[in-house]
Amino acid sequence: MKFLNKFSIRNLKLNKKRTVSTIIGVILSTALICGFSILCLSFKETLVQAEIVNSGYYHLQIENTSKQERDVLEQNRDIEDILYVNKIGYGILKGLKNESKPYIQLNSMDRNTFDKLAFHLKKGRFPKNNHEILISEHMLSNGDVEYKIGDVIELDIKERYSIKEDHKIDDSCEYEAIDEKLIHTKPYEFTIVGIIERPVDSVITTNISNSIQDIFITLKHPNKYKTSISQIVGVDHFDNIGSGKMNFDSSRIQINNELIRWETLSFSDGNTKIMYSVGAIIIAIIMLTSIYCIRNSFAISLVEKKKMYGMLASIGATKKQLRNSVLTEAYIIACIGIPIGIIAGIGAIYIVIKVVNSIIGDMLFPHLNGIVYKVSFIPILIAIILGFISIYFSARSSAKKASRVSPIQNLRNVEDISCNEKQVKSSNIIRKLFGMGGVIAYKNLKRSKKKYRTTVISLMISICVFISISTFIQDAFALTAKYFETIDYNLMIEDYDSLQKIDQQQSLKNKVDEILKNEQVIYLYQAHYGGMDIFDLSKINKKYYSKVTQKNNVENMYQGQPIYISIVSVDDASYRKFCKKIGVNYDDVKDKGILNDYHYLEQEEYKNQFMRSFTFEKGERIKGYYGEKKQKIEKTIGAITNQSLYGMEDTKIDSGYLIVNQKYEKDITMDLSKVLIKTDNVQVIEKEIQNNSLNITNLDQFAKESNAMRIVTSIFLYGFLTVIILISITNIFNTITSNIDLRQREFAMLKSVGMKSSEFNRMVNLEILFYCTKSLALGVLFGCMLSVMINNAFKMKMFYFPIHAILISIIVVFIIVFIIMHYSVHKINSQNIIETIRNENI
Amino acid sequence: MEILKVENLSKVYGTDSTSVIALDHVSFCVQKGEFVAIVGASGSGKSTLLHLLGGVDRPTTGKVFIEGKDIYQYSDDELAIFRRRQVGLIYQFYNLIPILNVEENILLPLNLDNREVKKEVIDDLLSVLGLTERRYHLPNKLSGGQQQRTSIGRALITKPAIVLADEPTGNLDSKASDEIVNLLLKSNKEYKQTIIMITHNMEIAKMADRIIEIEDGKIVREV
Repeated sequence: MKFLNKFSIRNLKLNKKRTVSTIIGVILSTALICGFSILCLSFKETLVQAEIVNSGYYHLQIENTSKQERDVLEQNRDIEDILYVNKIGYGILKGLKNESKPYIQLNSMDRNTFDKLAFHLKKGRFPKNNHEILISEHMLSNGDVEYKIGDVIELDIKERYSIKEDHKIDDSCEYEAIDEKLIHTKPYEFTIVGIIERPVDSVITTNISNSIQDIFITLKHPNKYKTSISQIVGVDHFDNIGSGKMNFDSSRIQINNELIRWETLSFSDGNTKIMYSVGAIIIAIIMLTSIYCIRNSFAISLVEKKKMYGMLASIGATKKQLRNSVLTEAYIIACIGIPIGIIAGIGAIYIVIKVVNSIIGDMLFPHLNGIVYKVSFIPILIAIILGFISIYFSARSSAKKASRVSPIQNLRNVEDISCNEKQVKSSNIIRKLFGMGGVIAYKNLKRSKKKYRTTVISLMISICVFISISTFIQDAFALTAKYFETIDYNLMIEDYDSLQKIDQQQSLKNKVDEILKNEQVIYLYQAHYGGMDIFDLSKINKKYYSKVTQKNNVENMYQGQPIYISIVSVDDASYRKFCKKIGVNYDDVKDKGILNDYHYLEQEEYKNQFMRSFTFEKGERIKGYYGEKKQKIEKTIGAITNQSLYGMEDTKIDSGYLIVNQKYEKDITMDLSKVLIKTDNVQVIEKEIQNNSLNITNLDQFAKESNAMRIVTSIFLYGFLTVIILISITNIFNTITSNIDLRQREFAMLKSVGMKSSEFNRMVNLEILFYCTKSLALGVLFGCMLSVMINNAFKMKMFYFPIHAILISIIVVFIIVFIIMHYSVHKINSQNIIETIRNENI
Repeated sequence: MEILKVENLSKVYGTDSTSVIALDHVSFCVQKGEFVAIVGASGSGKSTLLHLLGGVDRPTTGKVFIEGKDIYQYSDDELAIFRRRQVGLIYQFYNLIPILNVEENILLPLNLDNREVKKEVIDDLLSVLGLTERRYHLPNKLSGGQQQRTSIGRALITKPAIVLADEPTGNLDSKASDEIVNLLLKSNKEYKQTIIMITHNMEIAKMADRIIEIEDGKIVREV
């Protein structure tokens, strides 16, 4: 065997071009597999880190634990770490105004706990002793007093007590002003030493212990979270948490589902399936492309060395020896290509992530400055295993064929191409268009179908993948682009602590009017009690509700239950603008209602369809009951529309909503729900209005983030596509160059009998034309089919023919094939005719 | 001692209307140390006979006994091993392995068998073949005669039961042809190597101990 190993190495060295291109194919595919795996790992790690930054590193929170409970838990083998938060009590911070919660909570913890629970120290430092405190930035200026670092505050810390239920309560209970009081005062004096981002209603100190603590548990094996958590809380099955007897009351338990979800990738069944399916498809594409490429290399190599294998067989090499010779070559190529591919994959993803983060990292994951790069042995192991598998399957068939080469084949110079007259018949049109050279090329194409198939298939796969990916990117972001196009505002202010009080509404309106002189402002109101109940069900669309019932798994709505319809309004100017938008005369509807009860159905049989929830016609009256006192109201329908009202684009109400003009609405109290602003100075106005009780959404920012995601996704998808194309180019290069090399004598003979250079070039060009047209026809066809499937998956209403992708494919394919063919032929043109004919060693 | 016995050997190519009888019930024997020349016109079946004697092709009917063993009872692997040990094949077009040098081509049958040979043996053989200075050259750096001598070396290195030469001088000039024939004669006379050689050249054929003439796949004369 040693001789054959040396023989294999010698073979590889002497056929440098073939060997190098095969190794390049192996490097590319290994790099792609490794890179893709690292990318998945990095994304997962990023999402985990983002969640940790957001909510802290723990899997299970148990509130109000006693010492006894904690002693038991500390012995639990499934627990990696426990963080302790001492709940000292509640106090009133002087000057703090928060009507939904007029007191703050004092907690004590160590530095480790503080860091791990991600409270984010924004300014200052962590307390060194129990006379120092951290307060949230929300408290800094939310009242009559402005606090700053260095201030000394006095806090009387008490316990909450429920008057109605006659027992102590904690922060799991909502504040009920008339039903609770604070008892058992203990005075404290603190110096403010730092400002934290969250929690908004707590202050933090250290070195004060309490028998009652909230604990935050980190599991040793997050992947086995179901078993571990079940065992900790004392249930036999994870799904039984919350029902039956447990070690802790279910209201005290909070599972950090978000973190667990990202750590263990346990999504809903459907989403997990999709995720793994997409991953499997990508790996399958990579492996198929690379197996095809490497297999082709070995097949070409076999054709070139068939005579030699025949010689070896005639001298006495056994089948096993011939087979192993090929497999040894494969093994050597693997040992060179795979390690380089792994290094390339690791490095490439590192560079890509660095580049992406430098461009848009702050938009993607601000707290992390972009995507976290993570490498572990798993992607490397996957790349090694799949790499060897690919190469083995690629070389296997060639190894088998080599073992089957009979010695007589070599002696009789039997060609592997056998053909008959019918097979190589050509029409006169070819002769007229391309001359004798074209005829010979055409006949050669017809008799060597296998060789051409390889090139055509490689090109076809690249074209197909390119068109599909282009469609995917176009569709994936068309939806969000369209969303932002149709929105008439770029700043949205929503109530955070409720704007239901008239004075608060007026205060906001005054502030907005003061700041915004020339901006367009829309005031969106919501009925105080939300909407009205319709008991007369004669006007509901039964077909729609049967679908809704199925979808939401709600009990049959026909069982005497009313249908709820939301009531919203906008200011008069905005109402007028909306009427114009939907093509309705303002004067006809100014004091009536505009009904929007159109719903987009996602079920398979109704896809791309809208369906109404009612059968009301324009001019009819909707009657219903409103509010706690069941006030009878009636509204005339002035118009019916399927267009969303400003600020309602994301709202999904099963039955729809009725839009009224705030100016003319007298029956119902409307509360200000949102303020929508269209402005060129988004950030300036955002800063001016900034208020901790308001939720301000910068839609320009969203659009930027959406764009950032589009760029990132495009970078990765096109990067993936580039490597696939490179593998295909390697394959095409191999096939075409070897095909030309094997026909050297044939070309030399043609020249020796008088074929001109122009005729020779025409012959070459016909082959290029064949490669390109056939591969483009198939590639575009399959690419369009895949595009339709992608289009359907995104539930797009219209199919946009991927004309740009097709045009690019056409141009690029012709260029690549042209370059490769003429490069191969160029070498032959410089050779001596008679030496080429005589050379037995070709 | 009879080293080769051929019984009713036939080879038919193709089927039915396109069938060609390349060999038609050929039978003969060769003694150990004999030098046999096979002559005949083109297409008479000479090369087919040689390939069948060397186990390179399988007959349609008939048997070939080499050193008393019917070689067509062997499996493909056994036949391959037989070829590397018991037979030395020399072809008109040399059929050297292009990526192996002269020494490696000569040692090829031994290497396939994982057998070592003493340095003196190979040195000696190279000297006899006149290839000492070309030892490490690849075939494309050799003349026709040098390539054929390499081929002869490969055939002789294992001291096979029988050497089969198919027109070994067909591709050579007269001087090179003389060298080759002399080598073969030398190996026959000095080392008692059994040689069966196909040739068109009657002058060379006359140097053999026996001439077998084949016509239309049949032996027509033995001299």
